[in-house]
Amino acid sequence: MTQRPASAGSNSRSDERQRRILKAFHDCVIEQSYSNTTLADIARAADMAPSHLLYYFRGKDAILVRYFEDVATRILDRIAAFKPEPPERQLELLGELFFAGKTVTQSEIGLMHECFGIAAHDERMRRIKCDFDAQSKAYLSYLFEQLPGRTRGDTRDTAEVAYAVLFGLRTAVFFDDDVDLPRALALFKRTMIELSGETQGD
Amino acid sequence: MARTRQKPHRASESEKPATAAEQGGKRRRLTQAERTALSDTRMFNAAMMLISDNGANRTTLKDICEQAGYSRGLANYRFGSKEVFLQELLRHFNRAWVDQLKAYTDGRTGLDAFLRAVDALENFLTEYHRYMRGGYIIWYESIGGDNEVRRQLKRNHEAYRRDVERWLEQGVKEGSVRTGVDASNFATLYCSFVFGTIYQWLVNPEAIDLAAFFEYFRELIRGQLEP
Repeated sequence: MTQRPASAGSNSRSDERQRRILKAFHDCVIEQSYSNTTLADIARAADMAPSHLLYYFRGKDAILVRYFEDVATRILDRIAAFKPEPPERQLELLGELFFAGKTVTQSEIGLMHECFGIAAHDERMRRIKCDFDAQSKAYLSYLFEQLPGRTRGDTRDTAEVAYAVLFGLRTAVFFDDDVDLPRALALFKRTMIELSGETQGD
Repeated sequence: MARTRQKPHRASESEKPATAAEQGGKRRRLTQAERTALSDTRMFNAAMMLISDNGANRTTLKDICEQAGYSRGLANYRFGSKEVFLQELLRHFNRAWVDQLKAYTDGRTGLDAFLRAVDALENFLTEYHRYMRGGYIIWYESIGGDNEVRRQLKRNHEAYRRDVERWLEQGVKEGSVRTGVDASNFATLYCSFVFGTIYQWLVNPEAIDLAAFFEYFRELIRGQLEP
């Protein structure tokens, strides 16, 4: 896992500096991509010396891991907060979270995709992504149990398909001009309803 | 009832995707063009292995040439830059996929062709998973910016969607697909599903029983499309 100074847990100044570094990292990567960002760039944007930054993070990769972990945790926390709502409302909220375009910018989604690419071969990132996927699918499975209509087969299989569609549609929006956010949202909601077993007309 | 699926051909990953020069196998001196094609293919294969293990950002042209058994400057001499090399590598990857798709779907139409395309995808994932890993890593590491790789990915996806739309429209005409199916929406969903599934599988292959998953998906497609 990400290196954290021993005193970080109880030291608000340390927390504030780590947040500053993460913000600087985010801004630099959005501006010039991950591969073009150097540790010196991040330190400059965080207004601290590179050696000082290295006290909090071992290097650029360690900042990326922490950033990815933080974003994944934030998304999962939001999804968990949907659970007390009626299932139809949960479906609306889930669609808004991923497709309404209010919570994250295109550049931030681009950064997340870069993280996903790295997660395919970096073990630390892969663990975070696997955990994120497992929790997301568990939630979808839970949602299919709640939604009206008869789910075809095992809800875990259905959740796998739904998650693949969610992930694929969100990616397609990013690189394919023919799939914009409103269309992707409509397709996602319709797929979820169809997968839950409700009959929808064309 | 599950259909019997036939695989047109099997090849070990190290053999794939081979060029005409590699496939010749005759003991004659290769022409310059064949030697170039052979060295390109070997560099592409080496690149996919390295990118699959280390990512595109961390793989250099020098690493690729050395892994392929050539002098370290060959890729740079031939392609000029890593960016151009990666673009050509993705074209090579796409040609391999298109060849596979044709082998499965040639002479077929409608729902039959579509289901065979799903078989082709399952086989490609299983037989050439390192190529798939490499290709998808390049895409994901590149689509954050406005670059040629991203534009290439868009073009590929447009072509994949058009194929699916064509099969569905044929299916409606010949009666293998129910009328009223929105071919455009279905094609978009199918391509998104494929993109999402492949990525999940690449990151965590243990989490997905690919054979069972594809069988389940084929059943879903039949349920959605058959009259």
